[in-house]
Amino acid sequence: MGTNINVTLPDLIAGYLKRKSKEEYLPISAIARKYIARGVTEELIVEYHRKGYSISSIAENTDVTIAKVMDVLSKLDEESDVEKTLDEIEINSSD
Amino acid sequence: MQKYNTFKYLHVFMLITQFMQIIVNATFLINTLRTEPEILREMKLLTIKNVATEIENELGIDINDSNIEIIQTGSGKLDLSNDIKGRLSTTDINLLKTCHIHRKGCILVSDDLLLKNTASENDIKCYTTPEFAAYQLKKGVITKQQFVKFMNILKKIYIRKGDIDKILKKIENW
Repeated sequence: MGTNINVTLPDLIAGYLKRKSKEEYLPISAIARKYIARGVTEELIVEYHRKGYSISSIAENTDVTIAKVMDVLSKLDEESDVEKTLDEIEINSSD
Repeated sequence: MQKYNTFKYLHVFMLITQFMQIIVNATFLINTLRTEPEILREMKLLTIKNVATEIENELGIDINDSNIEIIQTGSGKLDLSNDIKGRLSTTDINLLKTCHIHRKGCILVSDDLLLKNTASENDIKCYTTPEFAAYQLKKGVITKQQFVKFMNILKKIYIRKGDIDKILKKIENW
């Protein structure tokens, strides 16, 4: 079912949650739950990625879509060694 | 005799490269279906049931309605440590096993670097989505105009945006 956790939030964050609660006609707890879940899921995705898990495996472990995993990881600004593969493609096609 | 053998092997090599099977995973399909689905019509692609299920769950698209063929999941013997096995999903492992059977005549397309590196360690060629698009450009399956358009749209959502910049720069001379 879940665990009840009481937290004290800075006024700025509490004020934002109150405003969203009014705008969305939902209790503050529901709004807070939504933002916490979103933030923690993103942290978990990055954590699994840093531990070397595959995208499909991260999606399974965090119960989110593969597209969501890729969206979160795209913010990390990583690159791969594409030049090497492109050189191979170029060499093989000129054979 | 040596000349004959050289000719024979060259002939086999040409046949293999001509009829290379392209096996794709969900990252490629999601990236393409979210950006430039039209480009899929130009390509003859294969996948396995696990990937088709992932796509159906994620995008609500039935792969059977597309021109992507679902092939039987293979049982090739992989060289995988327990550590790597624990970080791959069942779909990843099934893809690798399937590709391993066809490894001399197949390319796996995936944007997952763990899957790509593991494929390479098991003698399976693997390209990411932009690399595969460049390969299709080189083979004349898609035009440079189609390639550039695809890359520019893909860049908005791609996991490693810097790779696309590098590829676009590289193919300027192609």
